[in-house]
Amino acid sequence: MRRCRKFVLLVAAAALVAVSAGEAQEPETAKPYTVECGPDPEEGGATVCRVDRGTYVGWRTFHGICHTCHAQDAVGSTFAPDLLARVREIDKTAFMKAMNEGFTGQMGVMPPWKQDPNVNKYFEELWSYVRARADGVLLPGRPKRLPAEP
Amino acid sequence: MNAKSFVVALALLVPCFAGANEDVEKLIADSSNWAIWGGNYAGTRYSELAQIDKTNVNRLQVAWTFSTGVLRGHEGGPLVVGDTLYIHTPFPNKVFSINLPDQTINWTYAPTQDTDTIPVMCCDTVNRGLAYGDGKIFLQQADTKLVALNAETGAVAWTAINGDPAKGETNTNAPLVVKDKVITGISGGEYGVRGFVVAYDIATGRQVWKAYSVGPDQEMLVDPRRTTHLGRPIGANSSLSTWEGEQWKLGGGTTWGWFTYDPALNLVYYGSGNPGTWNPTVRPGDNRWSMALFARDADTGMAKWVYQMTPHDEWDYDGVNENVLVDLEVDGRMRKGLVHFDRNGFGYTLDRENGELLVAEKFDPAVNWATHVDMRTGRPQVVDRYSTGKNGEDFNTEDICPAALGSKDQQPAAYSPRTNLFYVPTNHVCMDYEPYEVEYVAGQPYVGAVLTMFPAGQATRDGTTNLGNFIAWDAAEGKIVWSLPEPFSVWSGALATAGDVVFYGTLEGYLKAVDAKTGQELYRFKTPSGIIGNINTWTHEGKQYIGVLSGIGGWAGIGMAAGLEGATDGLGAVGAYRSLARHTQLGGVLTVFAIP
Repeated sequence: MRRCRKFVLLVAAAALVAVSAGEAQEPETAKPYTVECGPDPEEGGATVCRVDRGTYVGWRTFHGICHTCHAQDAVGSTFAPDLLARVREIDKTAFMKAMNEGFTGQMGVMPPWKQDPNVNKYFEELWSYVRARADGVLLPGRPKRLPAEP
Repeated sequence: MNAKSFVVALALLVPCFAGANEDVEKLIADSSNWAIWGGNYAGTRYSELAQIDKTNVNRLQVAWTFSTGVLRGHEGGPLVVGDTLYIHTPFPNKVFSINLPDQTINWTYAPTQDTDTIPVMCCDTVNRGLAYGDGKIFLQQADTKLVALNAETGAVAWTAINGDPAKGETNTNAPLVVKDKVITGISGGEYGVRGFVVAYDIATGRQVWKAYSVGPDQEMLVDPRRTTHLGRPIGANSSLSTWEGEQWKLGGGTTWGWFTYDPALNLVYYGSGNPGTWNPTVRPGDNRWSMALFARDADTGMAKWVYQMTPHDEWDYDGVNENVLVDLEVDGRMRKGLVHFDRNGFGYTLDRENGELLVAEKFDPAVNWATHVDMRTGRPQVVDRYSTGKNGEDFNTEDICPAALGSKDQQPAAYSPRTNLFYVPTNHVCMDYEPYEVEYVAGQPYVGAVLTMFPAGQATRDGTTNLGNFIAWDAAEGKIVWSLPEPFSVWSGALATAGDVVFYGTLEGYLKAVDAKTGQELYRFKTPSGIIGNINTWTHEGKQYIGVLSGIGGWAGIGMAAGLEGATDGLGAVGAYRSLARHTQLGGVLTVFAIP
């Protein structure tokens, strides 16, 4: 995070892909994330995504807790499904219901998270993260923070 | 039955009741059986059988197979006692007794366990297998129930409740039968569980002793004056003084690994896991005795010695890996040795009688979090750059080797007295680690670190992409003798035999046989699923068999994805693990091999 604060938008920003993809049937008016991916001079020109605070916190919560079953980058494992595919099939209401009440699926059992203070504060952020991944907007790997919003 | 024959029958029965130990030791001594997880109490996973040797192993063929009917990761391996093979499954922890002459099922034990147990198991619902003794089969269920089954009938002889899944306590380990006791541990290191080891009476299931890894002396069963650390008495409050306040209560130090036993010294050996949260900043101190090896008196549980590999863990380097008991010459002197390949990447050789540290060297050259182990203090010399504690909360420490899953995890090594080499299945994976603050709530994950894992080559920048190596190790010198790169972590238990063949399994599902001296591959066969189980061997009607459980899963399988995306930038290990989905899918099958 410290390193992210140092980030300055460079001329290379022209190469950045600003994304605001959407699906017509999505009832939400705005996407729950802001994501910009492009070559990062700090990383030797490798493609890095920069995200808003919420999506970043969602990424972090996911990779502190959820990844032990759903794997890095939410791609699924032998133990729990690929969330990218799953999240494309459900809306936010269904996501929040599963987070609050848990979910028994084809592969296994997800516990309810409403009583876990390390997770329940971040349902919105997790939604931002998995939605950005499911929409194909946020690439795999560790994102960086966008410059602080005004 | 007349009076005379009754007396004779009674006399025959007496030894069985007098000591299950003798019973088990007799079964172990006959290499036609595989009566204990490690092949013997020392855990060498070495068999005297030599029908299958390095000249004919290439003619190995599948003799028969058995589906367990369970998906999920299949760790551990079959036990064979006489004409019967016993095999277990992951949750719901079924047990099958199989009649070897015709491979029919004698009996099945299928417990009903609360499915709420599943989500509190950190890394798949694995189980590492059974123990045999006193005419019983012992199963340590996921829901912590220890079950004694009549080996003949499968009837439940007794059960004991070992913990509470509502607090995050579960079990994955194989129990160990020692004399008239069954010894077992506890899992739940990611849930703030305070680890312990318990001995139950083999006849009744009554608890005989219980020893915690952390906390007050009397609860740890340590004697401040007699229990030693590197030859010195550990002193009073050796654990409490290394924790802040009441933090030891969430102290971790769980005990989910393998147990070994030295009958001559009457000592049981095992290691303890991570200290509570993965965020080191909030638990200053050495956090004793998490991440430590214990030698305990089998009768009383009292600790003779203890050695902490990773004081104040900052990387989740659990110390639970197996301790192989081998006599070996170190610096010109014969020692009763104990060899331990730790998650932290160091291969340790200790004197198992007194806990003296003899050798501590890296068994993967990529290991970078410490430069070396100080042989006087036993402490690893931590490199500041890789100290997630020094770097602090909310800082991403990059390129730490090994990753949290360790240079080696639970997959047990093998040792051949014919080559004096250890054969070690290893991981070659590094990580970025960012600790952050978390609250403790009973039964909820208590982790507090963000992890990203990738092939070690990404950190060492040597251009390699392999995630594992299968190595031969000289434990007296602390040196790698040969190393076979594997595309994925080697997560199966190895087997060495008097035929000078070493066997191991791969995540793609190959059973491989290599030359014990050179490592040259002699045979491979693709089993139905990825292998995270152990290779075991036995004879039936005079013929040698090799058996292995396949069934991808466990921590190794967490990265195995079905749905793929095009982009690979920054993918690292996930990219590699993902390609595993091209090789194998879920499903538990026991495959048994023989030379036709």
